Amino acid sequence: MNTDVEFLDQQRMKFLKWYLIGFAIFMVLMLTRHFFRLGGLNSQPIGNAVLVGLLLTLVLQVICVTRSALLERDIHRDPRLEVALNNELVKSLVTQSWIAAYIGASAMSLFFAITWSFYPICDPVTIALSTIIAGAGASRAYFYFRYKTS
Amino acid sequence: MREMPLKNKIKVYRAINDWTQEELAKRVYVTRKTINTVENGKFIPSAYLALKIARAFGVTVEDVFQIDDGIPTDE
Repeated sequence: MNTDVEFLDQQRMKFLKWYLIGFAIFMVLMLTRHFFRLGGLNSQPIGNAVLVGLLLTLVLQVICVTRSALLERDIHRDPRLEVALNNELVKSLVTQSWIAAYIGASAMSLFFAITWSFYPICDPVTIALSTIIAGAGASRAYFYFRYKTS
Repeated sequence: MREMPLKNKIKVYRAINDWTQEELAKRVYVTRKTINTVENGKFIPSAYLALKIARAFGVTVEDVFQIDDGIPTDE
């Protein structure tokens, strides 16, 4: 394993960047699919295209999360790397990112609550999953942008 | 942004030793971003990191870091 801290830090941010790209597209497509269903468009070619895009972005997220987790495991195994890469700045941002997760999940719940006033939403699983995914994404996005700009 | 009550002379010691942030980061075994954020007072380093930075310069921690909270010291 490469023990160059600069390289590992860049790798970590690279996985996070691609995860966020996948997350952003996934959220847009998931909401598109939700509204397509209301209009009966999901069985149309455009609906299938959205589904394919949804699955591809999901695969991208899974790959990034898995590779990120493997990298974190390697970092945890080496005390020197752990101190070098998971320093106070990182720990502080991780703690702060929980607030972003809460705001993201709340915003998504609010969005569905408002949407419910205009359209019938009869899929609690979609709402629950969207809220969790939005919270996780907001948390990771907060960490990424704060770390990048610090 | 709120000012950190911990001043440092990392930039001064880097200049004395003619080191870049990257060079210091390699010697201390942290990322360049860590050095940059500590140097610019964006976050307070741990005692361990402060000791490692001071040791890299061959000086004491007090030479590199000073508390700046307005309370006068005994010196």
